[in-house]
Amino acid sequence: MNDLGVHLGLLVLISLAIVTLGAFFNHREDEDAVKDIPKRFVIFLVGCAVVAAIMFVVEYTGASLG
Amino acid sequence: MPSSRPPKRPGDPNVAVFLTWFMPGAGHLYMGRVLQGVAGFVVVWGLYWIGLELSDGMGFEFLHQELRGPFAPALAPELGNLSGLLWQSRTFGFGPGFPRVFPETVHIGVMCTACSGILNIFLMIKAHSDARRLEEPGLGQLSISLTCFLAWLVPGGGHIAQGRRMRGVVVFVMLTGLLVLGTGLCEGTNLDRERHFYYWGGQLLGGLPVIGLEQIFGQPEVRDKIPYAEAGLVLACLAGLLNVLAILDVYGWGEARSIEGAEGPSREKTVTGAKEASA
Repeated sequence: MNDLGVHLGLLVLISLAIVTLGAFFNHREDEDAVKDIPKRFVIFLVGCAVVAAIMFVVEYTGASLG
Repeated sequence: MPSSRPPKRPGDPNVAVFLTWFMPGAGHLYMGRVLQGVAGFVVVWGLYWIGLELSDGMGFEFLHQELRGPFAPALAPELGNLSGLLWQSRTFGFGPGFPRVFPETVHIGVMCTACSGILNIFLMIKAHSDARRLEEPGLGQLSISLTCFLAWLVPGGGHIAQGRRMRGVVVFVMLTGLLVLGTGLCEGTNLDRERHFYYWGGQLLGGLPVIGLEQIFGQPEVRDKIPYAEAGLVLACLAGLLNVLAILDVYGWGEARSIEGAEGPSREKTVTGAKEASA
C-alpha cells in the first residue's frame, strides 16, 4: 500500500472513532446513536475533503512559498 | 403536614469545586465532611508528593527550552491539582537552567504527579455532586464521580458500570484499538513524556491502557526513522482526548439519572397532592 493509501486508511479509522463518540455523546439511546453514525460519517469525510481541497488550493496560490 | 421543600444543600457547588481544585479535600471540609476532605487530601496530595520525590521535582525540565514560559506547565495534567502545580512551579520550576541527569525513577514520578491532577478532577466532580446532594446512597446506582473515574481508568468502563454494556464495549474497542495502533506505529516512542511533553498528557487521558503500554515499552530509544511515527502519535493522542468525550457522556447520563432519582418521589408527591386537591 502506498503512503497516501496508508494515510487515507488511518483517516477513515480515526474518523469512525470521532463520529461514533460524537453520536454516542449526542444520543442517550444506543439505537438512535447507531442509526445516526452513517450520516455523520459521510458528513465528516466530506467536510475533511472540503478542508483538504481548500488547503491544497491555498498552498498553491495565496500561501505559496514559491 | 410534611414539608415538600428539598433538603438544604450543604454548600455552594461552585465554591466546593473551586476549593477542591485549589486544595484537594478543601471542598469537602467546606461542606463539613471532614473525613472525606482529609482522605481526599491525603490520597491526591500524597500521590503528588510521591511523584515529586521520585522525579526530584524535575518533571517540567522535560519541556524544551523554547517552550518554557510562566504558563507552560498549565497545559499539563498536573493542572487538575492547582496547589500541587503551583508548589512544583515555585519550588522546582524548570531547574537551574542547564541540563541535568534525570533520576532513574523520573518517569514513574511524573506519572504520579499527572495522575494526581487527574484524580483531583474526579474529586471536584464528587464535591460538586455532594454539594447538590446527588451522590447520597439510596439512588440505586454507583456515584457519578466513581463512574467517571472508571471511565477514565478504562475507556468504556464507566458505561459498563452504568449498565450500558454495548456502548461501553464499543468505546473500549475503538479507543483502546486506536491507542494500540498508534503506539504500534510509533514503536512505543509516543509514550515518553520527555519526548512528547504535551502529547503525553493528551494520551494519559486514556487511563490504564496508556500506563500499561508505557510500562511495556519503557521509553525506547529512537535509532532509525520510524515511518508513521507522527501519524501514530496523533492517533494515540486523539484516543485519549476522545475518552474525555466518553467521560462527559458518563457524567451527563449519571447526572440525569441522579436528578430523576432525586426528583422522582417529590414529583410523584406533587402530582398526587394536585389530584387530591382537585378531587
